[in-house]
Amino acid sequence: MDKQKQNPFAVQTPEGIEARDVVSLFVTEYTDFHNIPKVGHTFLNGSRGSGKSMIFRYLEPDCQSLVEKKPVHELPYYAVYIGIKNTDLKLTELVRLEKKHANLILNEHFMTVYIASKVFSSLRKANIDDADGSFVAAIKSFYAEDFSELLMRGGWESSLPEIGGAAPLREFFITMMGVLDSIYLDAISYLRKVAFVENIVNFTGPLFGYLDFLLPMIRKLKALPFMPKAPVFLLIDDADNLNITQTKILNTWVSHRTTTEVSLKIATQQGYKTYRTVIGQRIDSPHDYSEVNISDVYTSSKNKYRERVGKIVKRRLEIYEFDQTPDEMFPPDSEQEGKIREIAERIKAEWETDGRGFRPGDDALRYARPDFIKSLRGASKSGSTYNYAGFDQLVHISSGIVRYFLEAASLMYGEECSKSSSKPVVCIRPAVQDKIVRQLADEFLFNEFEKITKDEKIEEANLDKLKKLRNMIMALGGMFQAILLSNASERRVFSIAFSDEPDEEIQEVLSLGVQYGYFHRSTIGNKEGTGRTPLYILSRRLAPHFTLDPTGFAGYKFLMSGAIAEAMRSPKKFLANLKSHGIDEYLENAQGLLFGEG
Amino acid sequence: MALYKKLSLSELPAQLVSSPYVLICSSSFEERCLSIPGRIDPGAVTHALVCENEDLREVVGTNTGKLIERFGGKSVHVPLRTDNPVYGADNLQKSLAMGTSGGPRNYLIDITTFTHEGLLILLSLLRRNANPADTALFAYNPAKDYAVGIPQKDKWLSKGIGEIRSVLGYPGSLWPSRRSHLIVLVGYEVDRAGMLIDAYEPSAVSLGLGGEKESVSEDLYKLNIVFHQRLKEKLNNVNEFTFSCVNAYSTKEAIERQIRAFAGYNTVLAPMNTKISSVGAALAAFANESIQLCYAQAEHYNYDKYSSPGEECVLFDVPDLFAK
Repeated sequence: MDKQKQNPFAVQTPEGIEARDVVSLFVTEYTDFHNIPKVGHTFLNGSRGSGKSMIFRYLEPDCQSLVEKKPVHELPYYAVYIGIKNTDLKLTELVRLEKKHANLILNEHFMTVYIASKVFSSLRKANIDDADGSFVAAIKSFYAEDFSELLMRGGWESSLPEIGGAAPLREFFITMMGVLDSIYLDAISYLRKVAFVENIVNFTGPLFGYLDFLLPMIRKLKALPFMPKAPVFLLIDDADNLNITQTKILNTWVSHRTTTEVSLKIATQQGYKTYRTVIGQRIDSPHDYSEVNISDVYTSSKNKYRERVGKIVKRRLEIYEFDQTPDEMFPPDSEQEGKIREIAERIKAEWETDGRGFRPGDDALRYARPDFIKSLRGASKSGSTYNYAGFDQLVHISSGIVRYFLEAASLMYGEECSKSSSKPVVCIRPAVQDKIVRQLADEFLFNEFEKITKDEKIEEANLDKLKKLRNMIMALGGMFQAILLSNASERRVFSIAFSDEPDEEIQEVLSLGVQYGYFHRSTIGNKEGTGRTPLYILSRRLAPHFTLDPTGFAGYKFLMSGAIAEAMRSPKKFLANLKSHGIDEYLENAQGLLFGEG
Repeated sequence: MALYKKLSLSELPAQLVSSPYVLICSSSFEERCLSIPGRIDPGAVTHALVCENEDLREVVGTNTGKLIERFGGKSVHVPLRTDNPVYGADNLQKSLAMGTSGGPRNYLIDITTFTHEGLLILLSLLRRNANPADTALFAYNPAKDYAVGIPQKDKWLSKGIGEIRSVLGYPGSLWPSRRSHLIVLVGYEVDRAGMLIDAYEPSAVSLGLGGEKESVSEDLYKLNIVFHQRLKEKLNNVNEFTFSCVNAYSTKEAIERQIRAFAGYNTVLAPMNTKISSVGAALAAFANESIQLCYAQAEHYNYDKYSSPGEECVLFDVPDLFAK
């Protein structure tokens, strides 16, 4: 198919991407990638879409063989990908085992056999070249002796299938994978029996664990000639999909000092259930593991993220035979940017007399775009004519998650294609960019919440957490908009921090917001200057919904928890209070003002 | 030969020829939960198992009260929970065992307002525990409309997604070495289906659309098309197939055909259409234990406007449900 007819921004699951394509697409710069393939256990934390699975895919031997231009046995490490789909290991039947004596053993057996099968699946996929047949001789011996012995030690009583004398290396991997799959399925058969039985049902099958089966198996495999004389990494993706017992078991594995042989690389989103082991101890960083937080790259260094996205987009455009740069493919609204530049020039010219920042350029950066948005509201009584277009703005709106950028870009490209019939797409028009990001912002917001209808009651008794979160977002979005349109010295505000200690209710609602991706949690120095306090940053994906300027980062507001409590109950009342009392006055004195109103 | 009849609700009592029945129904915030039980003469039942998701008692409690009152001393309250399927399964199992005298039972099951998960667990329990001489008659009251009073483009039934889990009793046989094929019988809860697919990241996705002649009504078919299209636009590389929303055996066959198209994949099936099609999903899983059924719990339902009851009833049986 003509490359240019394909969507260069299509998002695919990394698992399904061929090694050659992964190597073409993957960008190692501007990430913490190089901290990952090192000896030692690592937790890789990041939101869905931040690139964790892509990193893991890139580490796999088929990709690394292409990168290093070496056969598998000469690679600097061997990485086994273990993706944990939502209902793979966390079967509902396992709830029956909780608080029963075999809970840990059976869950560990499940995990061990699952991972062991994936090891052979990885070896099969690695396409190891055995031109002179020396590898087959080694695997034959492993199969008949080491593998057989390990299985028997665990109580497996069947016989290994016979493998013909001329069988290639790959067939051994497939057979061993099949044996382990079959043991795994037998364990599921046991779970079928316990599904509706409250009492204990005896388990009579073999039992395998990390220390007595998986580690020795990997140790023996490592000694074989087709394996690199190098560390083995087990890349456990989506570890949030383990149940709590399995999570504790995994943490126990982390606590073992096995890193010279096997290092665990564990990818999680915000849902990792616990850092405690099966005996209740906590695993800690850096003592037990190192930590890489992908989303911190965005919040700590915006340029790095912008450059990373730029490189990723440039690569994709090259692969799909486009000549355009990312900026050319996603041009800004030139008329709009022209007007913003004019305002910026005026601000610079007036800085001597009216300036607030240290330099004219600082004021131009801070106020030109907000002033432009403000001018639109004055003229047309509608801020919605502001165009969210241009590579820079789109990068900011994606809020540090590459996938959000690519998904939006993919939809934009699709829309351009549908409008341009057979002509090749040379750029995504600003109007299309704007339309798609606004649509996605609304979808992001209303996926979780029902649209607020015009006749919605202002105050509701017995608000549930979801409604409180909705109210909080609408209130804060409205507040950030009010600040943008004000004469405040810092108008591009996206974050809040608390001057006092928020109660449990507020913390739960904020946690829910973080879980759903509406907020990102960071920290900031507290007002007293005695330490740090949590900072909650509204996702820039919502900027188009509230007509906010997504390009600013520094702005935040300290507020009293009473203000947020009011926002959760009634965003309309919160916004009305902001207007009548003044933003800073209300935010800092919300408690007193609320009682005073009583 | 399987029974299958479409009739008006007023004709229902005349069809219940095998009384007395053990009635099983589920209370709900939907008024449809009263449609069928409200037409059944309490004298025609020995027991009425009234299932209630007690974590939703605030919104279902009133209808629970009405159902229990209707059947009086024959009512058996069966507590379920949307956030704890094992708890509900144990209570259902105990309730099903009540009052058995060893003789065959005739079950009359109003499947209309069970959650998909609750219904699937009930079917698994019946299959495991029932006597082969037992019979089961299923009744379903199709909705007249969903998201009542809301313009088509804004219709929603649930928001957000909570836990995604395998359905108790249907763990499937998922080989660690195989790729995954997720089949979704799409209904109106497009956002929930999209989030399920997004969270799952399967290697292959098949979206089932209720066939035009196999839908509850012309209007609901048109609505289903809109939602199906909305979901497709968000996804890349989906496979499509049609299934029946009104005939469980046809649904089963359509699912089996789609599975054959992806031989060698692990199959995870998410029934999110009518409860009749969910019975079809269960039948497919009974015939092929390798199929895992999964369920995505909704965070929040459109309690006030979820549906309005239609005037019809679908009656059908599943002759081999209890065959072992």
